[in-house]
Amino acid sequence: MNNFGDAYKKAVEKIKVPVVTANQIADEVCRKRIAAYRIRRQFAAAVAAASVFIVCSLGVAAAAGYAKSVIRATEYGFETSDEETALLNNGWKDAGCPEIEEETDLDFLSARGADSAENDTGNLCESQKQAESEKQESTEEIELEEQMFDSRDDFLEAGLMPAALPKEELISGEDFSEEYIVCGDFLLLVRVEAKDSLFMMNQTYYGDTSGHASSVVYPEGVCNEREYITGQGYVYKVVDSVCEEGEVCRIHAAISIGDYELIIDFSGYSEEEAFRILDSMDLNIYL
Amino acid sequence: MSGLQTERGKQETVLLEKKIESYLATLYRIAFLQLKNAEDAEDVVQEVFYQYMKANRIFENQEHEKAWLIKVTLNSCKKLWRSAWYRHHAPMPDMESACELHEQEKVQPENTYIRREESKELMKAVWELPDKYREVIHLFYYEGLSVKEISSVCGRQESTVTAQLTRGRKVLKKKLKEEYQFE
Repeated sequence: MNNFGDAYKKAVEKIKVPVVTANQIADEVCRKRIAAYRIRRQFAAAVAAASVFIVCSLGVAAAAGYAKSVIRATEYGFETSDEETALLNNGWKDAGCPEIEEETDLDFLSARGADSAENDTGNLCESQKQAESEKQESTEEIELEEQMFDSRDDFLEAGLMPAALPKEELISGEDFSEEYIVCGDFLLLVRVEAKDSLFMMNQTYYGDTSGHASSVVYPEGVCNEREYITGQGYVYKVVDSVCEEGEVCRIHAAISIGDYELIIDFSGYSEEEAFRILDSMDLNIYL
Repeated sequence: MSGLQTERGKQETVLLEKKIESYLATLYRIAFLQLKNAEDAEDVVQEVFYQYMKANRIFENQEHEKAWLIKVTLNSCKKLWRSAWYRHHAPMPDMESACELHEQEKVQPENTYIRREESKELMKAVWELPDKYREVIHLFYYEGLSVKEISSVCGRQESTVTAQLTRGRKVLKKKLKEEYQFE
């Protein structure tokens, strides 16, 4: 009778081991620094959208109505703003200002480590700096009340805001959990997770503003920009996050409807499934 | 200062290369057996060496260092398992292409075929074990870790490790039709 231990060792030693070099690890360190920097940008954008900054034009009275949103897909996600702000921003960006430089120093084994990415401030040209400071002068800081619900029924019963939620059977599954976070009276964050999938929706109400600008950043970058028209005739802008292997790992959709903007993220769903979910959301409630 | 950093960088590169040489096979095989996929295993191993350099830890001895690396490898595999994307799209394992012929086997093809089939059958049986049993079976029989060492690496009680080893052996005996003797 063969000895299992000896036979197992021989079998395991047949497994081919790839070549890994210190340079590959160095590339990994650089990639992590860049990813960490992007995540910090994403977090900053989420905080800005969630609570603190409402961009108001200088000297303009309270809004009589909401200016239609413009949604643009960028290299890393979406940028949304009212039409006027979009026009101003596009003019500014066309001025040829440089991108923020990512750190690419290959001396990765120095003591600085990944945290040094925090010191990356990039190179902003003068017109960008001026625009940034003008924005800050005209912003208003507001503290928001936050309410959380861990079931759809409780959230709907509270009646805090309209929400075009998808059909439950399309986003539920094994190990199901859901979270509904309401910030103030204008932001709703929805997170529905099952064993193999994750559905997230960010709903923002801009009806009380005369202008706004926000962005959503996905660390891996996005591609495959396209549009999807729902059964109700509404048009979503859709992009994909692509993993290192080149496969689609997440689908993102954005739409401006009435005084609302929706940013929706699908993880673990095929395109067909994601679009079916979008179709099940009744966007008429926002009009 | 930049000169000193460069010199230190070079030394640390040499050190990392030595660590890769010492531990790559061990860590890769652990990751491969957990994830059943060569590309993911390679990603995990790179992540582990990245964590090693980032942590910049001082270890009591080589055993301590190896245990730490194995622990980080297992945790990285679990992190990948937990991702919704991986659970939804985990690729099929490919044992055939993952294994290579040893030089001796290339010369004696008939023995090669028999031995390869036996190895395949054995590996298949191990791969089909529940993840936790496979983990302890590999650490015990291939890495030669004791129950105490396995419990430290995996973060489980010794009694749990013993029970998992016993159950793993029982399942393997049944799958391998009692052809092997387990110590």
